[in-house]
Amino acid sequence: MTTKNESVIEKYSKAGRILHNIHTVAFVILFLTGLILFIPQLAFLAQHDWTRMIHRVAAAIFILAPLTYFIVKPKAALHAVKQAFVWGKDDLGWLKAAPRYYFLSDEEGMPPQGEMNTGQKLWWFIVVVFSAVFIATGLVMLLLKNIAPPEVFQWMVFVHDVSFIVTGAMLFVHIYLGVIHPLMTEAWKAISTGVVSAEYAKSHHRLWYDEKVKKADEKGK
Amino acid sequence: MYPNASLYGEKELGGLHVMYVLNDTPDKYRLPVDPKFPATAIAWKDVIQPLGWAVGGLTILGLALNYIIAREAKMTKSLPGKKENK
Repeated sequence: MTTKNESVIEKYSKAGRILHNIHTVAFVILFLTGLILFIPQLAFLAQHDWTRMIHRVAAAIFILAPLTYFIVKPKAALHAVKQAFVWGKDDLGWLKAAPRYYFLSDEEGMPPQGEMNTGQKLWWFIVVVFSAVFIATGLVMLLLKNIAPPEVFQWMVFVHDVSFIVTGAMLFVHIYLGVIHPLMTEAWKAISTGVVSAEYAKSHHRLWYDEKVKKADEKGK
Repeated sequence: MYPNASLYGEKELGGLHVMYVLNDTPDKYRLPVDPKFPATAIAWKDVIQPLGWAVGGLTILGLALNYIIAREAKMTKSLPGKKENK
């Protein structure tokens, strides 16, 4: 019965939040130092090597942070990565109901959601897949610069850029939904303090909430 | 005297800014006979660049639009994010 009476539930573990924040900072630095290559008018900033050095240091952090998490918390990491690839028909229902919900505050037709809702899962899927693409193409550019044929190198740049556009645009959506959207009242609280109110968990992540309550009940018996 | 003499750089890639008067055909000088822009350069300039601006711009525009509409809807619906306590 504990969870029911407590007003807050843990949404993100401390290790998970630290990883999230380190990864975010690394990605934003990578994004900005990459952006100046994408905008010809800003490309002069890259003519001295320092932005490229910063890009490489941030890339190392971008790779090492999740690796470290995998070593320290293998179970949680595996569980998280798996979630990105589990999709069901409720996800379709969410996608159909989402526009009315996010624009018009209309919760009707919104299927109950698990720990991650479909939108969060979509973003998470993009993060997992495109991180791998970024790292693979980036490593080829960094390590095989003089070995790979020029065509291969250029297509790596191309794929790196496509990933940049997809993840960059979705990062705006992610930050917007987490910090600015009028209905996401506790998303920011969840990632900065780790907990959400039981009330918020119930209305935003019903399946996950029920599971938590059940587990707490079983423990209490 | 030079039956294969040619002018290189006038038409290649739309003009090279430098022209060569050659005594023979360009390939004898190891110059590419029919140079082409690499597909990746075209893909970057004509696809990736405009696509990036379009996707980025539309995303920010969409989010701003969503904020205006969603805030209005939430106010008229009296905090539906917090209701439904059953």
